[in-house]
Amino acid sequence: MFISFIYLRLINITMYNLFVAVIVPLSVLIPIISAVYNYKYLTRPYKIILSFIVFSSLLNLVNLIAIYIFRLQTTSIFHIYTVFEFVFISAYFGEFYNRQKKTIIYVTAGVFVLFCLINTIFLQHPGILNTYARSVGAILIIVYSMLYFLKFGNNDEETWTDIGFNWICSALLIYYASCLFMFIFSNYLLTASKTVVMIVWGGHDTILMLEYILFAVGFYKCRSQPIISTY
Amino acid sequence: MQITTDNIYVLIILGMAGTFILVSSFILFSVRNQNKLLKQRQQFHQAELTHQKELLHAIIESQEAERKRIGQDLHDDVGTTLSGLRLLIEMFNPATATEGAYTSFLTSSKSIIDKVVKDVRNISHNLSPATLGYYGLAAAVNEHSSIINQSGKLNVTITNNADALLQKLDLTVATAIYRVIEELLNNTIKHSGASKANISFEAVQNRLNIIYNDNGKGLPHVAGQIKKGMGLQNIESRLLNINATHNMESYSGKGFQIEINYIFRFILISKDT
Repeated sequence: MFISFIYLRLINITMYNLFVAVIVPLSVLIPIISAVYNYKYLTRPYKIILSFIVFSSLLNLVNLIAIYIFRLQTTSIFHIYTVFEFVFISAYFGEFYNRQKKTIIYVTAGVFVLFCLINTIFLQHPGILNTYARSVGAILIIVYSMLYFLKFGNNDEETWTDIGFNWICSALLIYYASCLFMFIFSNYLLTASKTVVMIVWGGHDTILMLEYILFAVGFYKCRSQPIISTY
Repeated sequence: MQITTDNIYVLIILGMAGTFILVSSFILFSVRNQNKLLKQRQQFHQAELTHQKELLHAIIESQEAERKRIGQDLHDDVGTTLSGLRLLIEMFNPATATEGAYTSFLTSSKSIIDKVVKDVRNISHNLSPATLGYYGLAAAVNEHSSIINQSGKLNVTITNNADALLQKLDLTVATAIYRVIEELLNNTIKHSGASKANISFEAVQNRLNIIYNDNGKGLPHVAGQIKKGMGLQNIESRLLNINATHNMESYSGKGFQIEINYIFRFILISKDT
């Protein structure tokens, strides 16, 4: 009975590791393949998202190697990642607006980068996760996504599903809104039990995979996409 | 202060699950709302199209009715009156006139009246081709073509492999197709400089396929698209009115071709069955 319990636990951990360390990181290839397949149709916003995916997948690879091979603490990677993540996503949403609103988004990104630096230097050192910066970043991305749906949600020219940007913005909204609580309490989770970590990170990775799939659909739908209107 | 015993991790998990459900619902509602708007717009557009089609139908119907009325009036009233005038002139025999002058007057008057009668008949026929009503589309097109062939302006050849189908054509549809062919022949004579035109009627199951082509200079192109004049727009309106489709091709300098397809609402039953 005891042996079977240990065996089951081992299996569970192995399955979990396989999912978190192999399946989910590899699922990033789904949107990348979709984007490469439709590359000649990709407009600037799609290319920004593609760059973001490639960048985050590379950083994730570094993170996984550091954790599983070198057994290192990788909290500092998140400090760097948060900055680039927000800059990429701001650049993406900036493409939907005119020069004036684009400038506001770029200024917001600049202020956020400054905030991240201050946060890392004075508030949350690289030894712990940058929950303040990451949470603020996530909230701003949720606001961007909501503003996108506010602007383009009443489009009666095309079916919702035919617009690739809808899929990408949905992916961003689902991921950042669902994981906001996790970002806020990330430092608490560092000291949590294995079961809690498994549940939370398992949930996070499932949502991340969903985000990748939605990105892939967005890239697939990019063909004959009308150029973004500005107002 | 009371110390809370809530498990923070459970709260995180609940928060994540709750937000996921909330956001997913928001997106699904957004999808549904947008699709609903699109559907409403499409329905409105469809209703507008139907209304325009009905207007077009009414215009064409009234135009045909008016043409028929004028044609009949010309044929019955003017034609009859002219025939009466011809008889009167023939019977008129003045006592004072010299024989030579009278005969010359008589001959020229009769030839002028004959020409007017012929012209009136042609105009009347063009306005409302009686053959179409009595003998059908094929006969009417044949008749019109033979008039053109006699004039020597154009050599029109007709290939009819859809006689059974043509016999079953509704008069409104037959009139529309006849007018289209008439307009096409008119365009060929006026603008194309062609020496030959071919009209072929083919039956493909319950579909009537008409191919018209000539060896003229084709249609002018503007930015890769065929430039359409009033005549071609009339053709399109008439075909739209009977729910027929068409495909126009212009081989820049090598002629013009149009393929018209009309689908019968009923299924044709073969004679053997």
